Amino acid sequence: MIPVGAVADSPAEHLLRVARAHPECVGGAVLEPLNGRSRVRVEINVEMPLHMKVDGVSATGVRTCEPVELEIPDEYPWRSPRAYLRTDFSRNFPHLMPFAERPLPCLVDGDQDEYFLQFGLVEYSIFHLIGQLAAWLRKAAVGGLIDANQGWEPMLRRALSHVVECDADLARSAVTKKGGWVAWRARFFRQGSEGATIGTGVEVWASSKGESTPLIRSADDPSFTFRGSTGDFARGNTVIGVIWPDKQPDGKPFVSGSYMPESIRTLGDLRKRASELGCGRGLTTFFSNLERCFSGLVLNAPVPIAIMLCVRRPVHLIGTASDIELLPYVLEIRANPNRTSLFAQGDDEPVGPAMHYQALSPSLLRSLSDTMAGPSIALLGCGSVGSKLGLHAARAGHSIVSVSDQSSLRPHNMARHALGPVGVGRNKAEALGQELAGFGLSPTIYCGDMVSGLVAEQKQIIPRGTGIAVNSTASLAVREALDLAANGLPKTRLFEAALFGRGRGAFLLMDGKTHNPTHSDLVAELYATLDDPCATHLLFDPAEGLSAVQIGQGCGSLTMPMKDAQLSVMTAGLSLEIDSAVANGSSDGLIVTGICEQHGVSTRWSRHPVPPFEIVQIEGSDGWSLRLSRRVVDHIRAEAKAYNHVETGGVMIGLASARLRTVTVVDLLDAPADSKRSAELFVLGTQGLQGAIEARHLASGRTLFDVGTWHSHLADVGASTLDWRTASDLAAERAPPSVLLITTPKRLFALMARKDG
Amino acid sequence: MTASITFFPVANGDMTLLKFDNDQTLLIDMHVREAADDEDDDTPDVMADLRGRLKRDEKGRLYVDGFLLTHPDQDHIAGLQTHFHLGPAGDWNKDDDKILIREMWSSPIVFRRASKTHTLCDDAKAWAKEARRRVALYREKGSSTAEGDRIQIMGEDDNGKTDDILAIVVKVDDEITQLNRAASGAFEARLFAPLPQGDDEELDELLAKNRSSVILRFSVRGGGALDKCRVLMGGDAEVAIWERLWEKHSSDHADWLSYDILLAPHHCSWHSLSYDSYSDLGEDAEVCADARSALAQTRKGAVIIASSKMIDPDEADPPSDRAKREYISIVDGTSKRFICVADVWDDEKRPLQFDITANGVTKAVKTAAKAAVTALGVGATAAHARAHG
Repeated sequence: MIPVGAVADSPAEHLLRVARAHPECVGGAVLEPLNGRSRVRVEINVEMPLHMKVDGVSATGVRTCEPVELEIPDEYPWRSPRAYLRTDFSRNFPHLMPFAERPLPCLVDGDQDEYFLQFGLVEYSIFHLIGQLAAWLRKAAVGGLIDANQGWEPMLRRALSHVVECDADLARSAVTKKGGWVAWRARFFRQGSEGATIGTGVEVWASSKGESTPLIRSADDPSFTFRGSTGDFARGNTVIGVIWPDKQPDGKPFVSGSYMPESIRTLGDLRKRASELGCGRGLTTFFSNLERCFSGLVLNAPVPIAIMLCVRRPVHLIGTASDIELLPYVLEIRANPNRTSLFAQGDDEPVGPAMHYQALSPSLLRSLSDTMAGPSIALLGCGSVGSKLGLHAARAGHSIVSVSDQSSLRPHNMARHALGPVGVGRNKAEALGQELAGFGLSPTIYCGDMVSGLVAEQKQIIPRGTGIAVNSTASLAVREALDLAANGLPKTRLFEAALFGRGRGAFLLMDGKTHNPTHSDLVAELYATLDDPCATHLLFDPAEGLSAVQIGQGCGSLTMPMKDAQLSVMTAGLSLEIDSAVANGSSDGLIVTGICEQHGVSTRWSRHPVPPFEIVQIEGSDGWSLRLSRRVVDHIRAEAKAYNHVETGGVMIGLASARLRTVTVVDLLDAPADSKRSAELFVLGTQGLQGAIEARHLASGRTLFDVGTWHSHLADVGASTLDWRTASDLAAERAPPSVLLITTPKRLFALMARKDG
Repeated sequence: MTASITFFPVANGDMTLLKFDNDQTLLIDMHVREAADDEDDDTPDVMADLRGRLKRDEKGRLYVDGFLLTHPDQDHIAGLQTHFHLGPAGDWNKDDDKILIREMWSSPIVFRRASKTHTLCDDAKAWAKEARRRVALYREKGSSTAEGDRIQIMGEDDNGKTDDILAIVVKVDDEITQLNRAASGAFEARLFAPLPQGDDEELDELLAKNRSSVILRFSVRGGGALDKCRVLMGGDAEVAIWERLWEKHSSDHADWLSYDILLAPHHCSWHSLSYDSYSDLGEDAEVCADARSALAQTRKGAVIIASSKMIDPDEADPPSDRAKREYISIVDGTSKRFICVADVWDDEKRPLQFDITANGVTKAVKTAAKAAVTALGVGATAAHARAHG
């Protein structure tokens, strides 16, 4: 056993001593420093199947005892020692850094330095590093570095200096059974002097959106340009040659099943490798088209081009369903006068292996967000809540098809808006639309008044076929206008998201599948059912509501003062709740509330599904309808059933909207004690009724009031003459609509008399 | 699951666990000395190790799918009653938490009346009683017996006591392909012994000593690939048995005896290789060529395991240093291919385990955490949680 923490000897001696404590480390020595860095050789025992062990070497060329050089970096122990295998170690393995001069195995999944540092004591770090090294060698011995069930491990390309950026799926979809190539338009950034080459300090970034180009050059063709800017930095237009393998002579697809080291340095190497991978003909044809395209033309500066070899592997690649591995390279063409080739040095022209970066696309964002493609989204309102919901959705790879807002970004919006000060002065929808364009989205922009727009220009605000529309305007008018517009949107699920109580509360409404319940129904239901005292306080207490904030001299804005962080906490929750509601796919409506504790960020989210409301056309009205919450209908039916020999009744509590021509019932008050029930007649008493109505009104934050009465009929008959007279009396008494609801054993009737009726 | 074979350090005794790639387990013999159950004693706590390798069923019972007893000697069965549930499976109780044997593999010796010359130890008696209970249940219920009540008999009884239950009897030279009624192809095992005795009196006498051992040659599937590991194990079978097997199979079926892993019979006893007394004759003692041949059908890279104490030329046989030298000669003179389980314990403080995969048979290495504890002397998994930014 070795004493932990004892560091009396040199780092190299210490490293060796700890390594030797590992059961798989069977020998070693401190070596002479190389380039000023200390080195240690360790001998690692490699357990392998008995029939290979007896030969001292595995079928893949790994020895039963492998010497490994551990080089101690200058920053040690803040950085991990690097482990180099013997120089004649086969390079045909995955997880072997392809470009290192000496074979450098990739020992851990992720950053080796982070792995090394995760142990508190350096001894543990060394010990576990030796363990990883031995495990790597054991896997290499049996070709087990790739697990066919997991998939093909793509060749390690991280830490390369060149980049080719494009959508991998697009490149893979170019691959056909027959071999071939396609040239894609691309843009490049080039770092390095004009005289420098890929091999001598030039770094290239080429990016493409995957638009193909025929490689026919005309005088005004912008396919290839070179525009130098400051210093040694240049950019311009170029192409990426995407090349995939020919069929085999027997007609079968060309599959490359063995690992090859990424040792490409020159055009000659690239041609040879392309041939080995079945892409030789495609590459040659691409180059000859390129030469023809430049025939007779001279370009004064080097133009980088990129090559993407699409290699077919025997199994799918880890993390994708595709068996096509992308191997990108960059090189430069020089269209000099009197040239024999675009490649000045012929087959010695330097070529640089490049990293592939996935182009910014919804599929990339979805894979990073671990989400599936969701429904398309229309955003109504691009304020602080709307802009944040929009960016959350865009970052998750969802499609935003429209953004609407009438107002402009003003300086005070910068306290909380998702967009930065660059957009101040612009219309909010335009500014957000431009931001979303960077994510590859092209939403319709609507800058008009949404209330009238939802009638006259509905498709601008919510394009046909939109999956969900999210109203974050906190506007009562937009809520009702959206309710009215809902009939024209059979495929769109409507959401309303809002904050209250200075950002400590949030609610989310999702209407029913056939727009029943509506958002107005759901709000009434929320008012009636909210039983959390904290939520009630935040929602209804005027002190917690909107207040005027001075945003300029003589200029106020009705808004809620709160920190951006608080708004983000709640809006992020709303965003997750929208995803969850969409994924749930229930046909019921939904009310979600979130309440954040007063000091801190703990938030309680509760979900409350709401089944469709019962809709009864109101006789005698001018197209009004009565909308009853399922809870209310169930209660009425139960009470009528309980009084099965006499008529009974009570008072209906809810809301009314003249614009929607609806009376919405979300609660009931029991009949006063002095009510009279008989088989022919129900007479609503008055004892204590006014007080009960007022108390209910106050309890609902002064939102709900009495909207009429209900009573039962023992037989399936509607309104009697007496009922009509009562309705008429009720109408004469007050301005708000007062509905008479009659429940019979089988159905509901509603009537309302005009005041003048 | 990765198939494996594990030899537990039980000094001069046998205790081997076969895990198949279909998740089934077969324990072959056990030798749990009292000291091994004593926390304060250095004797390896093999039961704690074994229990850690087994699974629990839906009723929370630890189980082995099968338990093969090669022969009822103390050094192959000690600890049975302490650690394994015997009697109806329904009587298993949580407080005792013993291991359920889903299916017993037993030699027909359990049908013999008690012998005056050879007294069985209590664990062996308990084994025989449990085996008879299961056979009786089979006679009553046929193949509808449940897990915990099942048994297969390795070889026919000479006196006809197995004639009415042939469906659960494996005949010599036949192959076993089922374990606990599951025939998944995870293994095949050919039964070579116990040999029927016949009328040859002289031979009977020769065979009398340690003649009852079950000898099996397993062919184990690894990672779904058939026949990746052949294991030959024969309890305490002595030279006459091995000589006889070679006579019987050498011309047509020598391959039946081939192996990647041989468990040297009788804890590396000289008497499995020779009729001569080494203590009398020393180096003049001769190896029986046919017995050696039966034990020398190696596949490439094969290893021979001695489940014994550490081998000391000055100590009594078994284990025998002369036998060890002979076995090393069988594995091409490569001493590393002869492995004594006690040496592995001494070096590595763990049982000897080989993993069986589609690549072949590989000696298992210590897990990182265990290796670190041994080498660094502390719980060395004290890693920081890896957050992300």
